Amino acid sequence: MDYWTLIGKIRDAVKSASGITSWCTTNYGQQHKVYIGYDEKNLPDQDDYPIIVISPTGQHAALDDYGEFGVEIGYGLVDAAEGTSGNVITYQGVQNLLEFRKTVETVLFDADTDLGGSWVAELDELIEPVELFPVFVSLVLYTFKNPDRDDPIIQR
Amino acid sequence: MTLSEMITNDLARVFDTDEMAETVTYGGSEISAIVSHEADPDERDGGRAAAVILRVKVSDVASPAYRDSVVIGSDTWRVKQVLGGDGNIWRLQLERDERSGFRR
Repeated sequence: MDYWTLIGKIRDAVKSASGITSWCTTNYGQQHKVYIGYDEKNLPDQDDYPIIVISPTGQHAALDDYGEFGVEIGYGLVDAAEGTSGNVITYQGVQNLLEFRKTVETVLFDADTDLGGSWVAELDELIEPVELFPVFVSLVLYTFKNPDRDDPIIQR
Repeated sequence: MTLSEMITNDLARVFDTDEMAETVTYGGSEISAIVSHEADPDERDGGRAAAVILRVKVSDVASPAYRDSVVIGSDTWRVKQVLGGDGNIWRLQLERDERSGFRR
């Protein structure tokens, strides 16, 4: 599998999944948007949130290893709601950001989702719930294992 | 004319909407304010937000607070910070359109 094929499969899995659309519509009144990359000088507009941003981050392969692809998926919400229950104050965006990611991953890693046979060997999440309030962002770096022996080093 | 009366007259002139000021909606109430686009976009780690400086009369807004809403034209801004006041005028930094990047 080549890199772009994997990106395309991730895109196709999440772009119109009913579970994701339903969650976004219920919580934020509109379907999510999916970006493949973005313009740093023209960052995604809040009107596009909830948002899923898919970015390739790099790949690795070796003669004795089919290799792996780094794919960072950004999850973003705009949510200024906060609630108080007794002595607990909860910013809704914190909870919903975690739910949003889980909702997308439930679709993405469902046994019936076609990821071309690749699988996630590792992930690393960074959450930014404070700096840009009311924007909440989670960045998850997924390491996908390549199921195919198509390393360009070997093909030469 | 007392000093206090002079200041009041000057404020009325400065905040005249036929002069430098314009009508904005602060916390649901229409007031006269001076909007200055002198502020650069608020660059923050991982993103940025649009920013303006707003001057309002203390007599119109006694105690500005973080996240107070201000409608200027068709845009809704939020008070990010009270930059200062001299007892007659508050100087406030407003922001809107917070945008995040998506990389570490």
